[in-house]
Amino acid sequence: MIDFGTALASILAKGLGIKLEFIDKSTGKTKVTRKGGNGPVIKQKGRNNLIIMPVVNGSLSPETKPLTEALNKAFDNKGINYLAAPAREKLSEYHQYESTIDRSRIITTLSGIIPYRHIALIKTGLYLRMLSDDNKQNEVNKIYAGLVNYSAEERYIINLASARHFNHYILPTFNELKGVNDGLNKFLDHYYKIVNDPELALFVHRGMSAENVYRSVIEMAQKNLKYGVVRHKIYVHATGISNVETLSEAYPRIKKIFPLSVKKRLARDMPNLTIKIPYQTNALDKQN
Amino acid sequence: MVQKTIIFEDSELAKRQVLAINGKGVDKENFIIENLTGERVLSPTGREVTIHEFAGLRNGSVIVITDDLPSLIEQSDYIEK
Repeated sequence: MIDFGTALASILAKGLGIKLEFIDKSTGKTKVTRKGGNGPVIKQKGRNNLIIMPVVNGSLSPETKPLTEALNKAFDNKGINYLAAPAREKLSEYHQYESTIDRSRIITTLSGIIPYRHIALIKTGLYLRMLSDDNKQNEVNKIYAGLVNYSAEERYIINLASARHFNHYILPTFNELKGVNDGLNKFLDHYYKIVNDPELALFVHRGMSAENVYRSVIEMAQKNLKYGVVRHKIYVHATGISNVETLSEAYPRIKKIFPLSVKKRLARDMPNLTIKIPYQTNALDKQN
Repeated sequence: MVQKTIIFEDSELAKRQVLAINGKGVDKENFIIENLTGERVLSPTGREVTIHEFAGLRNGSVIVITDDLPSLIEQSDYIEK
């Protein structure tokens, strides 16, 4: 059987003026197998026949068609993936964490039960938590910057996972319900209420003032009480210097109304403040 | 099933070339389109995709990958590690 890389090399070498570089599998060193032309550079790396193709010399022109044909032939028309180098890097960094990301078995337990899309969001949230714990604030910010087009619900699921609510609340709820009659449906009912009607946790963001935070907490408590939500807890999370300052400013006013349990973590680069509010049904009478 | 993966550099030119190879282009508002029909392509989450957020193609150009982490994680089962 002809080696995949060799087949590709021979096809591309025919009249395309393409320089091919392969990384020797035994030594890991780059081996130039053919020089010539100013076209795309193609590298093969490692056992998986991964090809790195920095497309250098511009025009989309005459090379495009033969390259398409050559690639289709080389890959036997079985379908090729294309991935940008930075995306590949992001995934590689993620994969370094992947084996340790699901210590609580959230992913393995909930896969196939909740929507597939949610699993990727939860994985992202758990990964963000690990990066935060490792003080990798720049990486955290970059990932969040890529979520600008995400819906409020999608961001909420990521934030719930990042704030460990899947570890401490949603997974234990699943474990509790799985043994009871119609437990799966009961769990899913509960799960969708949480992710579609986010009254469990408030995540302070830069657009919020202390007044906004205070008002939001009151509104969440009012709504929970109105609908008889038995949880009687609200979590308020702030991450980053300005968000922690905002929550700290709102804190005395919230404390006047609710008995608070405060968890404060001051990491080197990543101040983090969480307030747990186990409110009583009569708490809102004190609202001023 | 894990398929062969071609990695391309992060430049608009490289992106346009990968798209062109796969019968796709970019419209005036920078959204990716099918060259044959002019129709804007959609990501697996149902969003139209701009060239700026374009991060690749899967399964012989059918699935458009965007550069946000959840989308990459979603596609990672099919991409060589």
